[in-house]
Amino acid sequence: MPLTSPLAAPLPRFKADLTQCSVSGLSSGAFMTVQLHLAHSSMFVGAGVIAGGPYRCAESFRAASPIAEDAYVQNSLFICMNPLIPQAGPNAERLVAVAQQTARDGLIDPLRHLANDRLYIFTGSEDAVVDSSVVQTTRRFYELLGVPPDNLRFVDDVPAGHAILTTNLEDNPLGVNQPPYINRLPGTRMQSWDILEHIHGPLNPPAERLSGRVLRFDQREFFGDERRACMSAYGYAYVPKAVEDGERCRVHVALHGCKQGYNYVDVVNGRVDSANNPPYGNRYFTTTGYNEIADTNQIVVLYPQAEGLDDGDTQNPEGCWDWWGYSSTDASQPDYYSQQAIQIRAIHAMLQRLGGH
Amino acid sequence: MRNTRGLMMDAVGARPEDLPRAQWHLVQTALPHPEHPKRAPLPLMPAARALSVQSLMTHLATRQSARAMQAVALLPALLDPRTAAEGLSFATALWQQWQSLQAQWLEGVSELAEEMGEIRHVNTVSKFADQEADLMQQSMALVTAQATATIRLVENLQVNVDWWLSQRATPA
Repeated sequence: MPLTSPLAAPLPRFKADLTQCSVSGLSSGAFMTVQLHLAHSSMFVGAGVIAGGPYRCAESFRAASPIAEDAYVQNSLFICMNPLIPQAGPNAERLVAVAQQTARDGLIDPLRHLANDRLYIFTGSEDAVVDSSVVQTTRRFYELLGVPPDNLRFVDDVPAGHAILTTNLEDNPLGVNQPPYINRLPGTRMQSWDILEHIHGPLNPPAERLSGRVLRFDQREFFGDERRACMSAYGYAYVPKAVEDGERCRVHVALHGCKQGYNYVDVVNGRVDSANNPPYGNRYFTTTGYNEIADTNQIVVLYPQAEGLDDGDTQNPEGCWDWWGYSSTDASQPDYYSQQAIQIRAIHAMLQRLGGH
Repeated sequence: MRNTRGLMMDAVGARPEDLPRAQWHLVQTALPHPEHPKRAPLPLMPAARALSVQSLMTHLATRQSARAMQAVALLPALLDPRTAAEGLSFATALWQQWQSLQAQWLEGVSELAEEMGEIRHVNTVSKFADQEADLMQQSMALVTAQATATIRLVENLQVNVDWWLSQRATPA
């Protein structure tokens, strides 16, 4: 496939401890957070889920439609995001059974690796995109998998809309449910700081002035430049100066939500409105606070990037991470949740690179 | 205007205060506004035309929801107090969603009315034509958004009820 974006530098090798990784995400990034966490739980010590549902939620009700692809999309919309009542939402017990079978099939790491992990799970009480009852099911899902109560921090008392929360004055008001899905929380703490501190324990205070830099790397080598991956030409990583100078580090994977990739432009009347709407997608990897706290704690923050595609083969117009199967080669037997998923393989390969491999 | 496209990021969660807030906004658009002295009151023609479309959708949604409730009635073996209570919750949730659809419509009409009421200066015919075309497109977008949101709600209800009944029939 001919390159339409200029080639960027490759992702560098660092000395990351690949047994101390963590991951967090918003919305589709949160669904993918759970998938990545379970797929490679031997690498992760914890996860942060902001407005996301449980593992393989989109496969809750196969009978929703005779056509598998339709069923999974309908499930994702109407069971995993907007159930009219909680009882019409995802079923934690059923999905735990599915996860256990998936592990027995060797498609993901053994679930015993989750036993000591730390989970931060958040739902805004004003979230009108992913219902709070769905996120409560995510908590229940992890409880049933054996995560101790003290390791699981569930926050549901903030009147926030569907967003990651910051202290930036430019960001949306707290209760808003619209792009860029970055909302302002009154106070002095970024939500990303709470996530990383809950996962990793007490950390050095965030930097007031960054010592490192945001790297752009060519992401295409990690997914073979296949269109179905819905991943962008470029990915990003924040690297503290100490890490670039050779210090060992940990890696935190920060997964943006739908419509938050660096090159996302909204669709107007069915057409990408690139003539009028500049992409705002670099906000997620520059203004959400991850870099500031990573800088003082020798954490590399990896920001993989997804992008939208809506054609005869792939329906992902909003640039979401795959949590319902759009990237799978066989729609009737999707693999989006496993180690073999094209997006999970790509992110895993990025982590391996950061670990020096 | 809240826009519903039947896509992943539609903000379709309903709140009890949606409709009262929107109704008050509509009342305000029909009255002179001290901060916008040149804004005209609410025009009636676009609202009247679009209401006919909404009425059609109302009938469709009612039929579908009636079908869903009939499905519940056809399963007497599953009708225990808990199931009945959850069925009532469905009806309540559906009603709240419907109220929010009304609110979405009123908010859109109010915003359109405010837009139409603005008396803007134009120096060229092309700018005037562009402004009038914009208003037409906004009117159409409002109707489309409302229709899409209604269809989405119908689908939502169908999948939810089917899934809910499926879980009752085959407990985990």
